[in-house]
Amino acid sequence: MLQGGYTGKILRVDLSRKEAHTEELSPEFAKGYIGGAGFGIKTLYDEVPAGADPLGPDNKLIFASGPLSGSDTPCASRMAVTSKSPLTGAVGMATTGGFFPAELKFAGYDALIVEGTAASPMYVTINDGDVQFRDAAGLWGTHTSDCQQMIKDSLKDQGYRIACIGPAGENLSRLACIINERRAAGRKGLGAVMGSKNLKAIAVRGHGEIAVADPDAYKTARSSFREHMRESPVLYSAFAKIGTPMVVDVLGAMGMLAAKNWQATGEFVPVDELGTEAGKAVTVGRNPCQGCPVACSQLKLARNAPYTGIMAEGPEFESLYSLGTQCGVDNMDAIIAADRLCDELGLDTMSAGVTIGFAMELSERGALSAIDSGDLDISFGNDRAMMALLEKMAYRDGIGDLLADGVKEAAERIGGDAAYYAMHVKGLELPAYDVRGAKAHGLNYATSYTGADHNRGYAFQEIFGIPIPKEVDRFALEGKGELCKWNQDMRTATCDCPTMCAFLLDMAVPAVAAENAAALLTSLTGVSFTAEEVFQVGERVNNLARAFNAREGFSRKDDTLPDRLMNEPLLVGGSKGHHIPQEDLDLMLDDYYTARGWDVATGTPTRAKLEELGLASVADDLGV
Amino acid sequence: MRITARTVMHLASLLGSREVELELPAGSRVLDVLVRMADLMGDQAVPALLRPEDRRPQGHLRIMLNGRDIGVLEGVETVVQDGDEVLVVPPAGGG
Repeated sequence: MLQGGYTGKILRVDLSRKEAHTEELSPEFAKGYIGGAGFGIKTLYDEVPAGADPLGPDNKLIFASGPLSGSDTPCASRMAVTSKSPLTGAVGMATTGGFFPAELKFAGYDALIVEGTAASPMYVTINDGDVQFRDAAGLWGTHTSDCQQMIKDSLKDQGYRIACIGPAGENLSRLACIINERRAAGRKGLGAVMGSKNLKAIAVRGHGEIAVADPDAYKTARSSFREHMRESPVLYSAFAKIGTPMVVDVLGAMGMLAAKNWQATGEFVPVDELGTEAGKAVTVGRNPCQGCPVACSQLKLARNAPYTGIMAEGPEFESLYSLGTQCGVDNMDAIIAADRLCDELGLDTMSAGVTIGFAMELSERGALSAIDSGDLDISFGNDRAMMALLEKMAYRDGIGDLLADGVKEAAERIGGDAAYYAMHVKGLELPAYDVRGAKAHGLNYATSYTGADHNRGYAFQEIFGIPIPKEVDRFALEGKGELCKWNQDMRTATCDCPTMCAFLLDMAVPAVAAENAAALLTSLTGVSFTAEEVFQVGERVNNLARAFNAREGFSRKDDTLPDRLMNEPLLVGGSKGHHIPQEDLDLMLDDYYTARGWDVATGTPTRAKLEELGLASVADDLGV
Repeated sequence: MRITARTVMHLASLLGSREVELELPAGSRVLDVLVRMADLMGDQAVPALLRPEDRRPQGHLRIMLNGRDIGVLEGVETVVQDGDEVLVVPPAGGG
């Protein structure tokens, strides 16, 4: 039975009927899927029918914290938000941190399933066991920080933790994200799903505590974890002070920091302007997630006109790329302002920035001449045009409507050869790592169940040189299929499901991640996990996500990379001469499907693999 | 022969630049490049770059030769060639 970690309760909210009820979480479910992304993807597979409109009433939105969230395990206040993505049509799963994930647990719930559609703008409050459906007419149209503050004031309790959408979600931009505090469940258009349901916000307040099944064993497991954190050569000594922007320096040196819509990687490398030292100069404080002793999140203040006085939590590394190098912008203050604007609009910084960089290249090539862009000079390096486009995208104003649904949709509407310049996989815009210089990382872009998502199978072996499970040559193809599978399953198993901050995987426990998770989960919950069982949960969840996508029509043909990465070798920098031609990608895909036990021709899970994972009914569904 | 030595973050601060050109005799190894970098860094190179006990590279550093980790080559004993590039990266994470 569930003795700790879990609250054991799931809250199901029907917006159409304004009804809420609780369901029990079974130990078998916990053992098979742990929580977080596992819970979300299992629920999505079971409850959202094939072909459902992502922005229609049949889609669901699942908020799931893991059993570690809300406990005193460090760095565990994380939550998976899962839905069918309106951006990709595939599984949309994003994780977020801050305080909301732990607060949901304190309120008594492991997960919240939102279904149906409200007749008019609504927000939902959850105060321990009390669920209320409230009119959001006065909140509709607000920026996310205003929205959160107005709800706290209205409820006369500043302790509420709130997840909400901004104008981008309300206007169904497929680049909209869900903002809690100043964190985001980003990418994949989850904010548009919330907007389609007329749901402006969810406010949660809880006063419960997380029980511990075996206090002595848990104390030992937790102490061991903290010791690994202390022994890290980077976690407290550098990462806590600098945060993710240090990766600007690293990728710049490796010739892998993508720039100007992936034309200028290795050439436009503004480390002096956007790197570690530049970041230190604008950092005014740190803001940890609940229960985190590291506090990597940096508060940054712009000090130069016209952005003077604008503060953001961030920009994180990925935003320094998407709103920086991708758009040819090396003005740190402009990126701080753009990052803050995206948070306020509820617009994903990554996909929005990549889409603007795409528009800048098309504009410079003359391919946007037939489209009215007003007085905007949409060219690389024009930060004011970038700021204006973000606003236009969130409100679907003029050319913003063309760009509001990402590069794939925009390229289809523009026509001609625009698709060549659209940097995405399965519709999800590319992260910062120019994977022409890191092949397993590229294979993950091609195969991740969410599209081009660095977070689903981060190849820290190639990016940071951590030799676990083995040292690799980042340019080599050999062995990358097996490595990509390992990265995807390990990340899902030890971070996305339990839930745990992914930065701890590579910086604290890379050699013992599954053992660490097993010890914490077993002692905290009373459900026995071996390291092998934890890892297998990762494999099971990745197979189930793949099955969901297969049911939606995805197959090997969709496991691809943008043409530019396959056709154009890098011209300068530390990865000069490298690219991923189709034959190289095919070779890695063959290895990957073989390692996964999937059909090599179609990329679909086989019955044998699904049965091995206890998913025989899924094999029946797929007809394999 | 001419070797380009590169590094980032606090190691670049110690080196005074993210990139220096070094003249080394034929047959030099990656280790020799690092020792020359340490010479340029001064007293703080130990322990930032080299271990105090034997003045060999710190184990947590990532060292690449022409973009490849030296662990997949011959380690610090790998012989360098004219025009080669050695990159030293301190422990990093995130992103």
